[in-house]
Amino acid sequence: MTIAVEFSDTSRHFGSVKAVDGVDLQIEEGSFFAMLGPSGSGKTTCLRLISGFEQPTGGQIRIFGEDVSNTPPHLRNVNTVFQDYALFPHMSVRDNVAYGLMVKGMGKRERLSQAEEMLDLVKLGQFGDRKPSQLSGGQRQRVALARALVNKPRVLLLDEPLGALDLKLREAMQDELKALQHRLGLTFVFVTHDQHEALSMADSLAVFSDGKIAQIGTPAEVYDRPRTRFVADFVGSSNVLPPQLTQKLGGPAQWSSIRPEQIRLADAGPLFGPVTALRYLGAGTRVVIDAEGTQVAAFVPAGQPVPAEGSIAYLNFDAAALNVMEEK
Amino acid sequence: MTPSTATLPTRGIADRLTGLFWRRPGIFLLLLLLPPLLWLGVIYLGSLLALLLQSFYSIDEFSGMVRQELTLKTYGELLRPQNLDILIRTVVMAAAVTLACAAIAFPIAYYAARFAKGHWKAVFYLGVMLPLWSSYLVKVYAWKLILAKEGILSWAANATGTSFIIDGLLALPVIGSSSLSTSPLGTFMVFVYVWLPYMILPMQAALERVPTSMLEASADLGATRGQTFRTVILPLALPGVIAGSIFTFSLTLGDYIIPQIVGNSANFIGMAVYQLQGTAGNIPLAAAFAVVPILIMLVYLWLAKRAGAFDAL
Amino acid sequence: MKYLKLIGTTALATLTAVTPVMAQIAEIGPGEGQLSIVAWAGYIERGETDPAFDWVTGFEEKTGCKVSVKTAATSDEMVALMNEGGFDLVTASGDASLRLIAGGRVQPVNVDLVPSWKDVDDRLKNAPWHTVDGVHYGVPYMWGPNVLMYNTEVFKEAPTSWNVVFEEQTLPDGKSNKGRVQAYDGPIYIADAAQYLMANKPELGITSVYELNEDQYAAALDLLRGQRELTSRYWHDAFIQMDDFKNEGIVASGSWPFMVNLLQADGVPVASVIPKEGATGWADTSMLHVNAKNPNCAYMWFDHQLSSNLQSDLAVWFGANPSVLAACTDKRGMLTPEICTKNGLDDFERIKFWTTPVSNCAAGEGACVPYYRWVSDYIGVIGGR
Repeated sequence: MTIAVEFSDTSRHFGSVKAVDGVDLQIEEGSFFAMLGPSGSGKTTCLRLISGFEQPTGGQIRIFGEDVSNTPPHLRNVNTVFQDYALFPHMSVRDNVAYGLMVKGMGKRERLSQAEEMLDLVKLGQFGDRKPSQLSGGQRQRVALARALVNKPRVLLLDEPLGALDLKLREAMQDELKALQHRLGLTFVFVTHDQHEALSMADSLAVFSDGKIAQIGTPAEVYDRPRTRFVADFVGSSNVLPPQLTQKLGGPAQWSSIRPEQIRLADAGPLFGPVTALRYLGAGTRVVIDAEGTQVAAFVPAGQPVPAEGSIAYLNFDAAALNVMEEK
Repeated sequence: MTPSTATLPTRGIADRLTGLFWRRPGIFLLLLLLPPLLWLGVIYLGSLLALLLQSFYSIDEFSGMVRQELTLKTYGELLRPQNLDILIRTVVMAAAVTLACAAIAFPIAYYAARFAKGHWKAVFYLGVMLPLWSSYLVKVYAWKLILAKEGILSWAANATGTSFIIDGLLALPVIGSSSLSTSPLGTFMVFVYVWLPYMILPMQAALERVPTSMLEASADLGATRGQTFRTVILPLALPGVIAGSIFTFSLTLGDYIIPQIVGNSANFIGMAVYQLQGTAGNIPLAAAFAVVPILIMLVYLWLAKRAGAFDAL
Repeated sequence: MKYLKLIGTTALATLTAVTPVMAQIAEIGPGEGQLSIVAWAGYIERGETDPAFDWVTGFEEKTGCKVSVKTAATSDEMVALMNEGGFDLVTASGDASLRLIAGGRVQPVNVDLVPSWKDVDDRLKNAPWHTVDGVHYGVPYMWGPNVLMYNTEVFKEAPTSWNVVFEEQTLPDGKSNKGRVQAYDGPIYIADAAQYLMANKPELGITSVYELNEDQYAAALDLLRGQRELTSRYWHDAFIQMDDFKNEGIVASGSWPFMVNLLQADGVPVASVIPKEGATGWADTSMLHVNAKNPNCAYMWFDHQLSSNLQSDLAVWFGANPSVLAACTDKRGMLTPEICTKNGLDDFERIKFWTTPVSNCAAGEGACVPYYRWVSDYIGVIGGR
């Protein structure tokens, strides 16, 4: 296993603001790695540390083992797909894609043919002569992708690449990106604030909070076993239970989490209280009860009886489903 | 409260007018644009056309009266060597001033657009605009004194032992003279000073519109700073540079005060127009001279458009 | 006049042929209560610029004619204003006066109705710029020479010839005159060159500096081209020239007594002289519009112009010479014989007064180079061609 990108105790402080604070991180070659977190959590700064637009104020960054502390962006074999795509408006789509090859001194014929190839790859073969302003959002996104990929980077960085697209297009692009990454076997590092996107696309992901990594792992690990309240809250829609409730359910006096779909309605159970909200979701109904002041949600599959609002409901679950977190 | 009707009663003419404008936004727009359009059309274009017409008249060399018959004779006069000298001298000066303004303005505008924040931005605007608040004539006369043989600049040069630089420059043919204040070089310096803000401001506006991510993308794709400058910044800032150069170029083409006060008295287009229409009463030739900058600017804009200067707009 | 205003391509060849002979007033009636004058800036002062210089208030009190002034900056503007009409008087320079007469815009003046006419300097009474075929079209106002101003620290003795501004030479302080002299930025300055040649190249046979044939004209232009090498800047603004004498190291130039006086008052070491070749000069005349609405007030002004303190104080104000010799001596104003001498009163004979060059001159039809060529060629000379 080769490590493509490695952060060792890496920090980036802006004055008193600790945008990135002592991050340790290893990204495997060939993986699709997501950096997830709310805005201001430090994920974008981490990406910019890899591309070289920011320099660490502490710690180190290695790319394929090489310390890049003294390497400016244009000398890093890493390319970025920008959030706003940053396509050059005065160049045709083809020239945009060929740009990286041009500045490295490749001959015109060669670079244009490679650019065409890359445009074919992202299914924009016939758009080479257009200006970026004549393309739709999704098409521009692909041009940005082709422009980065044509340089055969060892790591491709994507900064919220789907953020500007509408829902349907975004889902289609998610599949396409994933397929592309699979085909090229490249390392993708992907920044997003959308947990669904991160969970569905990434091989592994890091959840950022306040400049630090709150949890790192596979999507399943992070989703099923959040380590902190923040992760549980931010990733998915887990119920977060306070220590006294955890204790009552047979766990230690620590915070815990449990996902709504692991909870079922029962005639009796450790968790009970009045139903405060019902939400019909098609595949089932979300039932929220007030258990000793904590709102707990359960997912009732379609076809099963749903309690009335205001009635007392009992909830039950497998003991193994309760995820005890580190926080007391 | 029980609303009795679906609409509220109109409160007089204003409400009815508002209703009319709401149904027909075109009428409102027309009313809004009519005064400026009239101004532009009649006063502005009208006087321009009158100028054009005058240039096709000629002056009777015997009586000095303007002969109101269309002829190209006046334009023929424009091609006499001494008049051609004036045209060439003016265009070369305008081009040199524009280039110098662009070269000086770029770093300033770039700094202001990219790095200046808060306070420094205010300082920048103040610094650029401040000279524009004082009278143009005051500035030019002040420069006459700065550049004079016994002026501030030569005093400072004497004090620092750098007179040889000024002397060397003044010894140059064509641009030199006995002092900076009487040399074409001095005229050039004053032109550059006076028009510089007109280059900095549009340039800064254009540079500000180039997103940082564009520059990062260029670096990300492997471009050096120089390459980024040539292939991204310059083309994207070009509309601003062109806008600025239109100011500096046309202002220099038309100015008649600066070369009168600072310089070696050789005529520029503006001075020629001033003299011909005033002292000499030769309105047709003055008009023909005045048409030249208009033509030059049209050609310039056409070339700029062809060169793709406005593609990034 | 302060600014030499010459119409570009005027040719007044047909002057005599078209001169209208008009009836002139036979007697002066009561004043109309007002009088409007087109004048050069500084010519009609009522004490508003400087309380010491007022030659209007007294006139108004005496005659009840309220004076209004429209200042003009060029002779062309004067001619244009007079063509428009609505004014009574104009203070026209030699180059405008004949155009006004030829154009029929001014009427003959009955000098018998101007009691003080007898006091007019005899040298001016029949001057050709206001007298056509023995008919007077105006009353002399002021005149002055274009003197050679020089720096007294460089020239311990006054230069005797215009050659200090025309030919490259080492000045008394041991340095070349290159870059240290100036010339007038107006085509009429060609006449100054002709005047210099008239004295120093008699073989050219120049008889009148405003009537040059092709050869004489070419020689004058050649002289001026040589002068371009010596001149770093030409002057046409009095204040810029004064500044150049102060800060630009200029030591000699054609100038007006006006600037000499102001510079001397400022403590700048300058003096002026009319060199041996003589000098050009200007002479202004008050002229009466052909359709003047207030002729009676105008005639009263004619007399006032000659008899009051105007001649004396304006001469001091402007560094000019009165058209009434008595004004130098009779203490009607501030003028003294010394000032008159300084302003060039005694040099009248040596002054060639500005007139518009025309192609049909004394030497014959089309024998002389007309003014429109002076204009374009002088632009060429200054442009280094």
